[in-house]
Amino acid sequence: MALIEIKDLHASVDGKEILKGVSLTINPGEMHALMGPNGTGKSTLSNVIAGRAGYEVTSGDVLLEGRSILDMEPNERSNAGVFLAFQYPVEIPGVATSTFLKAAINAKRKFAGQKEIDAMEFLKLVKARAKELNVRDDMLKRPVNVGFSGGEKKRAEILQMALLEPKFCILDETDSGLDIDALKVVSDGVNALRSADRSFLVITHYQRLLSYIVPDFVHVFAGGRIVRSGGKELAMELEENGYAEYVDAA
Amino acid sequence: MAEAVTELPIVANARGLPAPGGAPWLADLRGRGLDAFELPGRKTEAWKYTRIDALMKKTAFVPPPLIDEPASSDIPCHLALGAEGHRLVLVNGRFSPELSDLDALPRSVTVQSLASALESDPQAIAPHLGNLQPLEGYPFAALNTGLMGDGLIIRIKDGALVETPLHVISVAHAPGEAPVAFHPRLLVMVGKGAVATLLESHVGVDGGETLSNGVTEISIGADAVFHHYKVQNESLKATHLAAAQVVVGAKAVYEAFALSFGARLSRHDIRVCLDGEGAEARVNGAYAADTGQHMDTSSYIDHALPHGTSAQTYKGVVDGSGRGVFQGRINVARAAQGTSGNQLHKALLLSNKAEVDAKPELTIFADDVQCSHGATCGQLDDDHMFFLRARGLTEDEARGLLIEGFLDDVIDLVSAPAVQASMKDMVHAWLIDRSGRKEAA
Ligand SMILES: Nc1ncnc2c1ncn2[C@@H]1O[C@H](COP(=O)(O)OP(=O)(O)O)[C@@H](O)[C@H]1O
Ligand SMILES: [Mg+2]
Repeated sequence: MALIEIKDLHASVDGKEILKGVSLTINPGEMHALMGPNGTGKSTLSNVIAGRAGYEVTSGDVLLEGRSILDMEPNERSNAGVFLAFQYPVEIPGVATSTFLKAAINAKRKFAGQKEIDAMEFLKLVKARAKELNVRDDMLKRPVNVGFSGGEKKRAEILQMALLEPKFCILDETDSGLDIDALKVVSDGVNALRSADRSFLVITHYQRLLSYIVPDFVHVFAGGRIVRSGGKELAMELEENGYAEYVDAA
Repeated sequence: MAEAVTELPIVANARGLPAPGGAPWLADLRGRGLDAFELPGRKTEAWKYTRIDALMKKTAFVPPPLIDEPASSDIPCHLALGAEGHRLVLVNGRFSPELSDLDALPRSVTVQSLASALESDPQAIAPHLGNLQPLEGYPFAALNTGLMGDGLIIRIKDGALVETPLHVISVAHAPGEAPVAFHPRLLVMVGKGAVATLLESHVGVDGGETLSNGVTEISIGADAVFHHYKVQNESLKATHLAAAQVVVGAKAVYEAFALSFGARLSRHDIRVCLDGEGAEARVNGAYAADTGQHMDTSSYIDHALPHGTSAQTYKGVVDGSGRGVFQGRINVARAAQGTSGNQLHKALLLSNKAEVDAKPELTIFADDVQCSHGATCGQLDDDHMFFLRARGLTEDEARGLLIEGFLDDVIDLVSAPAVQASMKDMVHAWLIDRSGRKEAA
């Protein structure tokens, strides 16, 4: 069975249609890249899948393991295994990163009928994952994303992903604003999470990321839908020719 | 007007009592206090958001009965600050040597009850008592001055480094039917170059209505560092009125934080005068008001001399039909060149019946100053909510975490780690109570 199936999805914001018939099937273990010009609806697609309010799905469906998730609350989608790494991670003053991570882990455990993680186990787990992602201990003590650099924010997103172990991960421009070292750390983190039953949709503007995270499929997104699909060589072609022809076509 | 005031039960019922210490200067001071007391009403600008006249007229407050004190085990310690400290317990404003812990006080600190000082050597405190607290414009401080009988006098010697905080635990307790009013008075003299911390916990033993009407006068010598952390956690039948007058000497630092969860009506008046060159005040606070609660913070920072710094941040969470009030005044005298004075009030409204009034007021007479004020009032941020929910938290869990974060953020300004941790625990406890209330409703 497909892990995720997006079927002719149409969605609008304030009455303006942004997604104009998106169809995409992702099987377990696959890495898909979604590339395209700015302002064409890539983040809208990820928000609709994650369940952000303010988007009206006018037709179509999104299925996770054959079940529609569109009527589910955002936390239910998360608990079911959907994870969105945000393009612009929010800063939350006053909420310590470690407190937040513990709350997120416990939310998932509660959903799975497990008891709360104990303090020592939590510390061990977080420290181990954080180390792999070059997330320093002092970042865990600081409020969520407050005072983090762009790269630190993106690494924090991947840390959350590593701790929640989702089935389906959307990475919305996780590479933007990263220098080459940070890009490597983030890519290594993502690659370490690749597995036979976990799938990814990596949204990016640049081919650069895809030489670190090698996709199985590449899709070109323009004008609110996927206009072309291919293998990883499509990314090279886009890098050379740009998106001009798709912008014009859309 | 004067007649009406003496007919108020709180005044009339207190009058017949013999006051301790009969020195003429004290009788005179008390007399001036009562004369200056006017019940603030609709036309009193400083009290326009906090109406107290109806409560005062209709409630037959009596002075606390001379009953047996509550046992140490009856004092709700979990409502007090959890940080270590020398316990100084006031029960209905009266100092309780039995419940207090004076033995371990360092020699650089002397603590005396006001009642015993007035009895043994009233002349020694004559120059200090009422020296800082104006009677005009502070009606309830005037009433306190008229009716005060006990409290604490705390002296910290020049250059003293007092490691363990002094912890005043003020217990409000009305065991009988009658509503009880009391007027505790604190006098704190911090010597030059001293470093010390004062904690105040105001708690209530379950019972009837109470009114705590306290005045605290604090003088801080040059180069001293004084930390002053207060928690108001009285019962929902309590009224809590408090006025603090603080004078900060040259290059001295006053750091204050006031945290309020309790009482149906509370007013925290704080006035800080930067009275020496380069004096610094960091005056912050937080409050959480739910249905049936009204919380007022009125601050006045007076920059009297050059190169003073003041920074104020207050945050309030208002839920149900609760109400918050913030009045923040900064005055910069002509002489106070090179002043920096900043003030911020942020309120988080959790229901559409919740209400907040904020009134900043800057009066600046010097020209080389950097001053700012800001007030925001809003709801939980949608992006924050979505982020947390996308990480698996339910709506209630996400709201809880954000509300806690909103208050913890300002509690981070408390520079004493143990006090900061205890205050955060209190915020957490408040949130657990809150979700209990929501479930019950
Ligand atoms: N919450 C929103 N409110 C209003 N307009 C929005 C909102 N989200 C997206 N849009 C609009 O939808 C279009 C697509 O935006 P977005 O999905 O962010 O594009 P991309 O991620 O491809 O750059 C843009 O025109 C944007 O202005
Ligand atoms: Mg985008």
